[in-house]
Amino acid sequence: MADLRCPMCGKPNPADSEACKYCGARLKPVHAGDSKPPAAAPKSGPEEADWMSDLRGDMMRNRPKTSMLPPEPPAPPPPSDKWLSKIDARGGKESKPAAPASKQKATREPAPVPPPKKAAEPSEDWLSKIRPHARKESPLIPPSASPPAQSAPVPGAAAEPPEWLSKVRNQTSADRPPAAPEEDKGAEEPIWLKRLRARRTQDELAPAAPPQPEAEPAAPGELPEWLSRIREKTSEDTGQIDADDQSLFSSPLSPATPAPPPQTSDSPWGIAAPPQEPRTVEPATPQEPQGAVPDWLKYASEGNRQSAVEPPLGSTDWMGGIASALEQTPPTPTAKPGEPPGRPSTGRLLDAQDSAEAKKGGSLRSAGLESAPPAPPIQPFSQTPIPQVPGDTPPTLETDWDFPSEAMPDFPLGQPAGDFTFPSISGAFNAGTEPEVSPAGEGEIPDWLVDIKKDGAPPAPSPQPGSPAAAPDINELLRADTLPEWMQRKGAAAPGGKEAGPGAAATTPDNLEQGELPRWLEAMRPIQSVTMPTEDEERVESVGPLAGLRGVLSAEPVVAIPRRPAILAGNIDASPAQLTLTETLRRLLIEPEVRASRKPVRAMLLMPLLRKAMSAVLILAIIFPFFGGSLFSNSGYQPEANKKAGLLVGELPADRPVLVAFEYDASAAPEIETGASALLEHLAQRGIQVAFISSQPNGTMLGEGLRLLNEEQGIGMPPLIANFGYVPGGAGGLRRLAGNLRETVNGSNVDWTQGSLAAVNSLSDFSMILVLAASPQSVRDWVEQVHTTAPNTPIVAMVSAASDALVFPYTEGSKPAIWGLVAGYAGAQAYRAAFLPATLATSGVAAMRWQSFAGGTLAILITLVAGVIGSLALGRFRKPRKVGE
Amino acid sequence: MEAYYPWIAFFLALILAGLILIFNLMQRGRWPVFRDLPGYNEVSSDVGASVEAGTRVHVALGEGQIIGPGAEAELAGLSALAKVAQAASISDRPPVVTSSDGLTSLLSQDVMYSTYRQMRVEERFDHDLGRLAGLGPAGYTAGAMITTSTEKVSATFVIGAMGAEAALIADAGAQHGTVIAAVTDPVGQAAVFATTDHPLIGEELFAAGAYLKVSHTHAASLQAQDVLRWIAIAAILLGALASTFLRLF
Amino acid sequence: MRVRSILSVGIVVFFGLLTLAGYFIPFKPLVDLGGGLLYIAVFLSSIALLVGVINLSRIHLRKAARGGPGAGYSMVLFVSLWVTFLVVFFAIIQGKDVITIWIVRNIQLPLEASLSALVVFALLVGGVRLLYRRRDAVAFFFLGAALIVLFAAIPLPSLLEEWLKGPDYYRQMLASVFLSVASGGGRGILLGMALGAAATGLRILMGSDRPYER
Repeated sequence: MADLRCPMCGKPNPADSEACKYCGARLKPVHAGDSKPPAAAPKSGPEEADWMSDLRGDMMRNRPKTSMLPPEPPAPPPPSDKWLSKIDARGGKESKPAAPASKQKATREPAPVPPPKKAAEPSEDWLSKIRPHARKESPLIPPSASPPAQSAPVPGAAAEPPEWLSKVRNQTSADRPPAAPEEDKGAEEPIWLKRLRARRTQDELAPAAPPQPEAEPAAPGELPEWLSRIREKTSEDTGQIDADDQSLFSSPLSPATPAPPPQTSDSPWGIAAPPQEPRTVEPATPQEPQGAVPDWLKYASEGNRQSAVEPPLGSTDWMGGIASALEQTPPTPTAKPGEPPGRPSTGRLLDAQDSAEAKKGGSLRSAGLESAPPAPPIQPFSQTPIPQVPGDTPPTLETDWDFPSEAMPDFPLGQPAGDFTFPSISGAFNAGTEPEVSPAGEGEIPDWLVDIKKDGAPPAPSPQPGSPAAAPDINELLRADTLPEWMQRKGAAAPGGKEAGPGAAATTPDNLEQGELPRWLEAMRPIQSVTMPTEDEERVESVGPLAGLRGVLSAEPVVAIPRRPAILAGNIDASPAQLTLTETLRRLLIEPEVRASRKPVRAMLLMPLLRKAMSAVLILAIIFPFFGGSLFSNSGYQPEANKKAGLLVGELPADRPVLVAFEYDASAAPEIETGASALLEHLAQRGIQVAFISSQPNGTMLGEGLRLLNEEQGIGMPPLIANFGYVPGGAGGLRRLAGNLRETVNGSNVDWTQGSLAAVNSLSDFSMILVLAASPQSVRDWVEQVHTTAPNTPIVAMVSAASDALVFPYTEGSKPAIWGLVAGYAGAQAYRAAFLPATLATSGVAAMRWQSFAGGTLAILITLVAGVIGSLALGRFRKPRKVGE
Repeated sequence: MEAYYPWIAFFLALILAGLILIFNLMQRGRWPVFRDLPGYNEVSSDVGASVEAGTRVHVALGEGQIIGPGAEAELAGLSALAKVAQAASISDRPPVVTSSDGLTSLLSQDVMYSTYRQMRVEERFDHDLGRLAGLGPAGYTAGAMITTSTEKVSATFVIGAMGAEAALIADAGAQHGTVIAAVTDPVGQAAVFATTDHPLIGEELFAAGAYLKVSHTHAASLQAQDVLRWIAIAAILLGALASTFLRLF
Repeated sequence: MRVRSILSVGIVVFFGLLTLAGYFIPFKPLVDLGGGLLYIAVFLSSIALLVGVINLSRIHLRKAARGGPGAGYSMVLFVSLWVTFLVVFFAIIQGKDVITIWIVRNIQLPLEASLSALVVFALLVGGVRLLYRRRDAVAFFFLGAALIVLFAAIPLPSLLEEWLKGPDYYRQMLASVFLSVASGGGRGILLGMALGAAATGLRILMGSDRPYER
């Protein structure tokens, strides 16, 4: 079965999945006009998440991470109900309590989780109750879908009320003491929903003109059925939905309540979609009355452009609040003391909001779903001022970074109102990244505004009078001729007076002045990186309840959607001057850590001097004997294993050959060949023949070279009866060798009929195995693979001094695996002094070599002691450093 | 007694495999908590710093051979490479991997490619990133030292089979950035202990997969190794006591 | 893609277990089969080595062509690599091992020995700075052991050899104590490493670790 690729995270999922098991996004879109919503995801997989939380979670997950730890696997979407599926799930599916996104878990306070409704209670399909209303009012609803009677609750076991509905009710009842007793809302509602409700409540409570009815959409048939019904209901609703009302937010399982009051056209749920017209810049519309058509409803249409009338931002309806939230720059938490300034991450913004909410009890105030005193409206950017606590200065949003801006940014979703200001494009970036709306119910200003106020947000510039308030098209914003001047190429004509939107026309406040991009900075900007993606208005939404609809505003601006860069930094075509300036800027900005960790000048100069000084001492100690004569004795201490090696060689039978294994490479040859020469000379003195072998590619070549070199110098070498060559496979090759000698070395041009070889059929037929190894691993291989099959053949090893400690245990015990051990140059010298005294050099290069070795060892010892004393002394005068600094 | 060595080894291998499976099932998606190893703690920050600085990470797999000595160290190094490559995949300068064995270099290319494909940035992969730096210890050391200086490396991970020449690679890496070293050869371990700030000694090299969270199987195998280590300690102590007792009486 | 993954894992597990069985089960056909598989693996390893060498030369040739710092050294490497290859190749064909031996002993050996000598300087610098960088008990013990073993390795002064031969015994005994401690510690580390190696191999045989998978 072909896998389905998740449109959000791109990971493969089984073909029959409804939702992605990694990120929870919907795999199969919901098509408008479906009579029944798609089935919920199978319970065996991860629970589908609240779609807004998913969106936010996806934004968080898709940000590039440099952490070593694996990017947190897409957290299993917190179990929550899918409110669309719940509508259809009249069979009493239980919904688990909605858990917020992983990032918000730490900061949110969980809302009270009432016990879920029993399945036996009569279910109340809240949407079905709307249907009769909607069908009466809207021509959008196809005649095929005949909803049940409005007042009749859906019989049979019903599903539990949607969690967010329950939460809304809970919150509403908690915040509004005179409100009707809350129903059992089920699990915790998402906080964003609570905020929306709170906003709605505020808007409803604020004295405002009656909402003007919205125009019907031009193509009503293209709206999904349920949206149409909702609009109709909203248009009938006054904006106050009683808690007992069997309305949108009531639980299907809640007890039967009287039918809701007739909804006016001002209700956010009863107004049909506006006519779908191309979005254009519109003049500021009057303040959106309470219960106006939600903003998202005005946009939700298939194939139609946005309404000519831009939705009033920050409208009182709770869904419209989402649009307001998308427009508003999220409350940027100012840098805490000690916190490095920088662009705050979306997560930090979310956390700030969540923490603010948590402080206030984390409750999403109802957006007026239950009877409650209206709250002051949340002002849209362009039309109504942001609700303020009396005496407070107009709230403004402050960001940690500062971008030069000559004009206000062009907001696709509207303009900030009043003294609002955005630092140019960064504000546009942030708009839409934060899907949550700060709750601002009951006269309280939103949390994010509170944070800003606490941090002393700078006053925002007021928009220019007469500036259009409608949100411009993002494509318009990104056209070359509409780009702000600083974003354009040098010399390119700035768009003459044409503002991309109302944002560009805003005046700068008194304490700020329009910034201009310096020429040197502008010169550093590669042209290709300016290219911005544009949002495809024909894009079909693929996730969430609006899946399948075209022209839906994305939750975040297209520029903020994480994507692979079309142009890698390495491919940018920049001039040499730009590269130079870029490098300079990079060093200034990116390398503070490197600079911070850079050693002070004194230490930087000291280390090279120290190296040179130590090198000079060593070199002097090595060459001193050539001028100063012999200072040290000709031999050193001879360990017991060294003596045993010599005694064993002295007792070997002369008629059986010795196998010599050259297990070292060229880098260890100078040290190993001192002992190899001594042992080979001893074997030559005894008249014993030898055969060469190696498990290293260059081994026998080095051995052959040593033999030839010694013979050239008149040093007696044992007669070579065979050169078995290279045995590949490491330990495996040695095991094969131990199992069958002749077969393993058959291709080495060996004449087995000649001389002593005729009697050799296996390794046991050799009188001794002499292993010349640089590393203990080679000795172990010979001991473990060969000695076990030929236990009666003694092994004598010549190893480097570094391997002495690890090979030495093989010489111990009642049945040692290694009968004799010569370690290092000192061991070789001791062996020669004990068993080959006539060959011990007292003059010449060989003698000087021993004196140089002794002098160098002494110099190293003295240097180390001096270094230890110096380190201890210097350490007293420096501040403590951690390991690694 | 020597004749029973293969069977003893066989049963030990069976026990180890069983323990790995059991611990894997017991984890249930959670990561067990191991003791702190500063070397692996620094891997994350070093890779991040190199990514942010636009420099490379150099993973030196050493002189081991997949068919030959040091194979286990090379395989452990490849596991760590997968994690480093994943973390550094967003960098404009992908990590460079050096080795002394042809098979190891090919495997390192495979590991990096599969990691980049998982991260959906396979267009950034270059076969030259997994290269044969040199043949033999000295040749490899020279090649690795050159790589550190010419490839703008700011973090060096020496993880594999290497001898005392690891000190040279560590020294070269320390001159350009940070060094984390884990080698198998005892001489090499002493060398890196003296020359690096975060040496990993002995079997800590084989804990790379567990500490870097490559997979739950790695964590389970580390737990299984711990169990067998305790069994070995008990066996050694009992054997020593028994032999002493027998000698005395 | 999934079929390929299953196939590759299956091949690895099957042949790995087959080779392993050849080590434990003394059944000659199985042993021979394991040995044969090892031969094939060694042969493939040598082919991979050739591929690696070609890749190395390609990298250095590209670097030499691109210019910049180190381009000259890269060209020297490229030329010397292929010249040596050709010389040795023809020497082996003609049976003249002397040429190969001469190259190894007179070119390769001095170069590699010089590089190994640099290790001394690196270790000395590291040892001197060890306590400056890190002050813990392990570092102190490490340096103490190094100093004692070095002290024991120094030959006696020729003028005082007669008088110091007796006391020299104690110097050597002290060093052998440290060698024994180091030996025990090294064995313990080797034991742990053997377990780690076994676990690594088992992970490959179990199919959970798949570095060969693309």
